[in-house]
Amino acid sequence: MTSAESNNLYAASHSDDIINAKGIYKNFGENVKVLKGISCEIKRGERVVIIGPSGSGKSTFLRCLNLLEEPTYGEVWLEDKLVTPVDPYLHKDVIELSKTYCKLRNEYKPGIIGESEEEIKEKIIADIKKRDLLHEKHEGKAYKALMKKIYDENYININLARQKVGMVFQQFNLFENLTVMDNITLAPMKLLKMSKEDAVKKATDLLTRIGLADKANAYPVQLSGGQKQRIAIVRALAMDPDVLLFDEPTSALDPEMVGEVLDVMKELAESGMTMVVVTHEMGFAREVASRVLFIDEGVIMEENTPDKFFGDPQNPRLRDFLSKVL
Amino acid sequence: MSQNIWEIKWTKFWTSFIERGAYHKVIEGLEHTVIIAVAGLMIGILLGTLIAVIKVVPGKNPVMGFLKKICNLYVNFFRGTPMVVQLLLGYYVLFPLIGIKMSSLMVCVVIFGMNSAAYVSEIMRGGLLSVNFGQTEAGRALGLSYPVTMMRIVVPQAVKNILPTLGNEFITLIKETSIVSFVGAIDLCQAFRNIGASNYEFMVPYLVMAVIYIVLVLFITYLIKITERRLRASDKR
Ligand SMILES: Nc1ncnc2c1ncn2[C@@H]1O[C@H](COP(=O)(O)OP(=O)(O)OP(=O)(O)O)[C@@H](O)[C@H]1O
Ligand SMILES: [Mg+2]
Repeated sequence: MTSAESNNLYAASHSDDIINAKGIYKNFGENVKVLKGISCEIKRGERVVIIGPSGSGKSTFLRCLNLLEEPTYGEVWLEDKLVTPVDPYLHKDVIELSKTYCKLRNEYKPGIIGESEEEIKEKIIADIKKRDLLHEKHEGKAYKALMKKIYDENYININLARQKVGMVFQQFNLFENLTVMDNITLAPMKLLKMSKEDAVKKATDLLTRIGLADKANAYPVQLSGGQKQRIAIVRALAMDPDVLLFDEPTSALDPEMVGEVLDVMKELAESGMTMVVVTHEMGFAREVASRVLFIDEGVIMEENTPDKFFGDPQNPRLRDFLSKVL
Repeated sequence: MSQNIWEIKWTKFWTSFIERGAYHKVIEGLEHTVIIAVAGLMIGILLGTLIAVIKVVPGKNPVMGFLKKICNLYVNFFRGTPMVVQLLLGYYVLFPLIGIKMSSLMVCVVIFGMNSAAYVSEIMRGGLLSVNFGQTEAGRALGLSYPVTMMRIVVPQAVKNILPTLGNEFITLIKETSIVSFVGAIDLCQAFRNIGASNYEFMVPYLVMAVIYIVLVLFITYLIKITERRLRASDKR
């Protein structure tokens, strides 16, 4: 059911993956299938830009990474910790323990040409995935035990994981009832148990960096879109995240304000921040990205360095898309 | 002639009000009315907010589903029966059954609070849903838990939006207190009924009573206006 395979990654892996999305599917209800198997690893220091046509699932994918949307299938790992339930289809050893597998193996009739045991196994597993045959309730004790073991050894509460994953929204979403200062200091004080003085000092430093220290006591309604978005970035930075997710951060801005926000983002990129950016700003993608993904119809259609991505696109749909936007 | 009658009526009232000290009872009744309404509203806001927050939790968690059912039952009961019935049930059935001894005033406070919670929860639910969902998402994305996000970000914005409606609820409560004599509590209404009964003359006491209620409600309306203006500070450009 998915292309992403795990080779016992849950066995105490120490990769430098900050985000590892494995075989993400997302359905809304029965019929709306938005993501159809996306796998993506994001390493420390990478700046991944995601582009694609409207409605292709870019936001949905980004929001799956910090579980604002729960994937229907697949697993999300943040800093080698699992934040979604275990997806049995991603673990061959789990499937092999299932009653469904045992039944199919016993019933298996070898073909005329002799097949190796390994080939038979692959075939049955592929069949189980394709037909979505696993049912938690009927797979037996050994299956359940391994599922639980994987979960217990790797699971981390999403609220904890999110502290390290900042997000910047298209609509800014500054807290309307709080001043700029309180917007920035709320989470560090509440979650990192930072003292008020420390939090205020840190917020002031960050605000100074973006030239908005004089707005500390303003309320969001008193700010321009560009100012709001820069403060939203600072609010995320105040938690010292390991990665920042941006969902079309400049799309809701008046054209004259796009530059000031992109400048802050470029500065962040230069400082080594790991970033995942959904955007329509092709200039930004070329200049800042270390890798560009093209998502269309819920899958990654192409993935490359910006040079090759824009200079020599392979996928016809990407070529078509680029010819329209460039 | 008719002027004469009014003079007599007024004198009767004035005699019992001042000289026979009935004003003490009126002041006491006014106090009780205000206590029941204010304390009832406080309980109503706390409990009502809790119910509303539970009701708007997204997702299909079975525990939450169960809690939501209980909340619905609660709200339906308190909105579906007359307040007098709730008061009588509380005073003569519920509290005796669970063995709690309370003054009739306390019973009124608790029942008014529970009743108000049902109405406030519906008002608050509307208020919570009127707050842009992006506010919740931004809080959750930072790592704040659902309750913290609600209490620090969503509820304050909801309260600001529903303040006029909450004010109405308070005024409703003030007026509803006139039924508490059913369980032997003395409120503004009961105080004036006693004055009337003492000289078999009800016209003047009831007119004065009506005036006091109106003044009280106007005063509260004024307080609500001021509070609203304060809370809207974050909207000023
Ligand atoms: N909560 C939801 N319920 C139902 N359908 C949804 C929901 N969220 C998104 N969708 C659908 O999923 C599809 C992908 O949406 P998504 O927002 O991920 O696209 P996108 O690539 O970000 O597009 P855009 O460039 O316009 O932002 C759309 O067809 C959308 O209607
Ligand atoms: Mg989008």
